Amino acid sequence: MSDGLVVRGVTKRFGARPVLDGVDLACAEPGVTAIFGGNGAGKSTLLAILAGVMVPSGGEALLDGKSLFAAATRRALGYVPEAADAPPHLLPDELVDLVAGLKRAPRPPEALLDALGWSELASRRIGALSLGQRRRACLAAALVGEPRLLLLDEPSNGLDHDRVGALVALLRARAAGGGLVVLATHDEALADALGARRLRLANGRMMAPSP
Amino acid sequence: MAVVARLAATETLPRVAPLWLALGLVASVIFGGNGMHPRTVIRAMDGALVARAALWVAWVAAVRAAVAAGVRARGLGPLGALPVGRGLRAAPHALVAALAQLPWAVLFAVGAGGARAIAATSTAAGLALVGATRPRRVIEALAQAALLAVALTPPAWLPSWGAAAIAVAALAVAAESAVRWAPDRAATERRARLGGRSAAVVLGRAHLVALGRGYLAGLGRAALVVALLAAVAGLAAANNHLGAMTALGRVSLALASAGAALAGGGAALFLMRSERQARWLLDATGTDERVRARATMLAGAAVGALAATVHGSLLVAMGRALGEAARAGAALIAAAAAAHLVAGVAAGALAARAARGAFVLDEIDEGRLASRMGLVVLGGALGAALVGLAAAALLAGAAVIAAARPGGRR
Repeated sequence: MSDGLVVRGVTKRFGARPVLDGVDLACAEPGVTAIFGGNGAGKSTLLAILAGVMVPSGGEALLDGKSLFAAATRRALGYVPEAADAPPHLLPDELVDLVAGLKRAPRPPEALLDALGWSELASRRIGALSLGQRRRACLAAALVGEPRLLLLDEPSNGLDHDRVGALVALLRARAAGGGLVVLATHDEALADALGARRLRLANGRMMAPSP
Repeated sequence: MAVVARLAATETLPRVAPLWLALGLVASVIFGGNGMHPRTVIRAMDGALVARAALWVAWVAAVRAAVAAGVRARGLGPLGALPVGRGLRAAPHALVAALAQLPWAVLFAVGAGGARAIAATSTAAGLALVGATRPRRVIEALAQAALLAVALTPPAWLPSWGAAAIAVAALAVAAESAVRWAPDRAATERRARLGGRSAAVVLGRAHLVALGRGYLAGLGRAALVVALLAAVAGLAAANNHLGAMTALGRVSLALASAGAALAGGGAALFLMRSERQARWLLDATGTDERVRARATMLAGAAVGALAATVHGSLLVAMGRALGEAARAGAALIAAAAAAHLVAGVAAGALAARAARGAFVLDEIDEGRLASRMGLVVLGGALGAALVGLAAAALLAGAAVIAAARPGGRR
């Protein structure tokens, strides 16, 4: 449990166009890492690759020494994509039950769900929720089984001020509890509030920590 | 108006087309050759309130969801912000809703004349539109009452042209009401239990919940189509004195094949979409592709079981009602039920395969996938009818192997 997240030389091409060109990343200590970058820099692509949603053209990613590209290892991660487009006919409660059933893990504690404002969205179809509400539903599903690694794509998009505060408290608690959190974001204030390590993705490569 | 009509028709007409097809098959048996005249059906409706109410309820229930899908078609929302009156935007919906009533209109036109056909078409379209949303104003409640009155009042009490005028006016109100309330969202729903001993069962239950919420009307139409085709099998057997088990079996299974193809094809397309919508979640939770295939097959089998129950029940009921000539033996009922189950499993397997195959293509061509799926299910079901269940079993086996084969993604 000491290696953390190690990404080596990950590349991704869409046809002839390279999006990621040998990305390296190491998150050994528990905490929050925020990846910045312009539109189309490849932040979402990198997170999708780490989550197993997209297959890389090359490179490797390890979580505590095990390949993240192996299905079994992915049970130790939670992922929320930018669109948070979970199955629209399910209720958020059912989404959490589904992920718990697939991971064979318990639901997150009720207190944690309450912190996400669960009562106002749990019994409405996901397809009828706003972006911020869908994001909270997907975050709850991502927290099933207390994953070692959380991958969140633009986590503050669509959230109101109070919910961003709750998100910050939740992610800080995850980091304090030994979890690794990797964000793709444009939100400088969120990174500040989380005390996140900052990295910048540009021209398909991870650059030195941004100022 | 043309844009609104096109968007609404794109959602409504594909949903009612299988129903039209099934009714065409039924009509060819009932009204063809020396069969019944549509006038006989209309007289039966006119003569008994129960028959009239039952047929009206069945028809409106069959088309309501298709009409509702047109009112809520994607892309209509932004048009509501344009400086165009709601009445003008409602007119295309009234036309599309009326078009969806084509078989009903033909039945009344041939059986009772033009004025009754206009009244029946407008009434059915209005009731379907009223059912698409929940009326809240007095004028909407009055329109709803007027539509019900036109549908249920004996024609002797209400002149045809008067009924037509009332129905057309009420249809206009119903269409405006549907457009007015369509953007409102649904309230809360009851939570389904998704527990299970295996991941495939949990995921299969999630697919079934999605089917129940997002495709309930489709399942209802599929059940209606299967019921109609099973009824045709019994009628054909009775009319042609097909007492022999082999002849009755062939007629029944041939018609079951068409029903299974329609029921399985639509459900398979929905399951494929459901699988694709959950793809990132399943990938990120490391859910094995075989688990996904088993889950869609389980959901497909449940759809097949529904069709099998409807078909089997109809065969038994027809045997009791029409006597020896239409009586199906236990072996035939079992064969029909098995054909539906096999078609359901095959449809689920194809859905899993198609959902995965969609990512081989960078751009997803849903129409092509749907047509392939429909052809394979139809081919297998026809094979079951013409050659025997072995053909359906072969198809199901091939589909299951294709679904379980690893790789093929990205």
